[in-house]
Amino acid sequence: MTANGRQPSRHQALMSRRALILGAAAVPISLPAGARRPEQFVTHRGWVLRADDLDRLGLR
Amino acid sequence: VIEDAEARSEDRFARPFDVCIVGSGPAGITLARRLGAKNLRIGLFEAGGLELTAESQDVYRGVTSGTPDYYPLDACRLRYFGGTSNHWGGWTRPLDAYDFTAKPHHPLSGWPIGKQDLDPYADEAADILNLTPDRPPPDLFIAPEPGLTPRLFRFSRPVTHFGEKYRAELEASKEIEVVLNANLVDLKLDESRRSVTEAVFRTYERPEPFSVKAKAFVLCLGGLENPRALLNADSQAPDGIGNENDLVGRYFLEHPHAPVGKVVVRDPLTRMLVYSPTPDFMRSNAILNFGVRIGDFEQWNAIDFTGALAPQPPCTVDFDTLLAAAMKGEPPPCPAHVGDVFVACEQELNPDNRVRLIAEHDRFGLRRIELDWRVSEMDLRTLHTAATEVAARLAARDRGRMQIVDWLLNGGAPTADRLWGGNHHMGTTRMSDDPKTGVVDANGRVHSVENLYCGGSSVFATSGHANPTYTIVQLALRLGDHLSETLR
Repeated sequence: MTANGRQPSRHQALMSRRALILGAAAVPISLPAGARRPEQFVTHRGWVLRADDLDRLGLR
Repeated sequence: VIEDAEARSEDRFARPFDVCIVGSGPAGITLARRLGAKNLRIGLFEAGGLELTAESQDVYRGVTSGTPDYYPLDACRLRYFGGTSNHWGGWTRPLDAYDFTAKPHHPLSGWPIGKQDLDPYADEAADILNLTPDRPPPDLFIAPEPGLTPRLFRFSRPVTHFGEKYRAELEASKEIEVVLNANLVDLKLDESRRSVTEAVFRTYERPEPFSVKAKAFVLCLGGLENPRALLNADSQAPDGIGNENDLVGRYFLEHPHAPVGKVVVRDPLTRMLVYSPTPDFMRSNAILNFGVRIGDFEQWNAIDFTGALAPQPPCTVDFDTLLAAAMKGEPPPCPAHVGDVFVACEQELNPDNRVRLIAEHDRFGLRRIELDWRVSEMDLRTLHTAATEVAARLAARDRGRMQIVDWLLNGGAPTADRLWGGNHHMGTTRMSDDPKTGVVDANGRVHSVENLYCGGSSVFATSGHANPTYTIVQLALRLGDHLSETLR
């Protein structure tokens, strides 16, 4: 439920879930459907990266 | 022949045509040529002249509502010989077989025909549209990527402007009479209201209308004007012709277009890449069809763009340096390794997305329209899924990295600077076997009228993600075959 007591729309709910997964913070995300390898991803300013990208690129 | 209705004689149209076609865009001209080739006598009536004029274009004025804002209705289509093909960009793809099927997660989806009904017209449509060669689509993934399929767009080059391409042929035709400056103002029904007896037209300069009789009538006026013509034809049918179930004008469809991010890729981009979801992926994620396009946005807007991107010098910079530069917002050391990401997607069927008449009248006394267009949760979810899946797969396969626009990642509003239509007007007289869910039947005939048909993208039952002109031409060829059989 949202702060005003209304049920969030399906889109809002999905967006919230996606925001947790791919939000602005560097948060591990789930595998894409069909991915075979257990890669983990992070996001950084909208970039969808592998977990080690930020350290390797010196951007953390 | 091509003639001007302003200069007509009093008894000019006393003799009935086999088929009266209204509108000379891609559907109208294709249909006329198909029927003319069958030796039927065709009248092709065009509201404008051979060139664009302000007085004709003004008839297209209307109002829009909804979110995002839509284009001005007198700017997103053209009202003269050749119709809106006169500013067509030339992008084509057939609908996918899946597009014709009914999906449980998309109520009312499904066509009464299948891809196999249009495939026989593929080669002729390609010839009409001057299409670039068919070829395997490029793919940046090394192995087939589960859930995503690479796709190919073929381009009309030179772009088929139907009026220009077919003017000489139509001028020389003995079967087809093209009549310019003929504005449809009414359709007259017989006493049973089951058959159109005549179409009534007016010109700009002469006040008296003139009537045209035919065995069959076909509206090829585009996805906004087909419903407008039917709704305005209310002298004998108070709610408009074919509108017994309040469907005319409803289920308007566009293709939501959105830039969704940019990529840095390991291999240089040499052609525009396109990825669409597989049927299983769409079903399991309860989303619609989409086409993710990866390339150079500036190039693919060029009139000579055929899918190939401009060659770039070989790159000696390693991938991490390319990615770091992009992430810092620095100019790309190797432009061929960066690209824009753009999505055009199918739209969910929504009865409140619609064309309706408003009180204001045009110069001929016909009510203008309001277009109410908005995007749904499923539309946005489709865009979001398209962007995030491609981004995650690029990283998972280490083929590149993608940055996704903030509004899509974090649930911002789909304002007009973020998402727009493709000038694709579809669905407003949608095709269905059931009169309660569609205005026309599988052949494009208005359910409640024996000899009135709609051509063009207004009959699309769903939109797919592909640009509509190729399918419009296929449907017009098919309708031509149906009418020639019916009238024989």
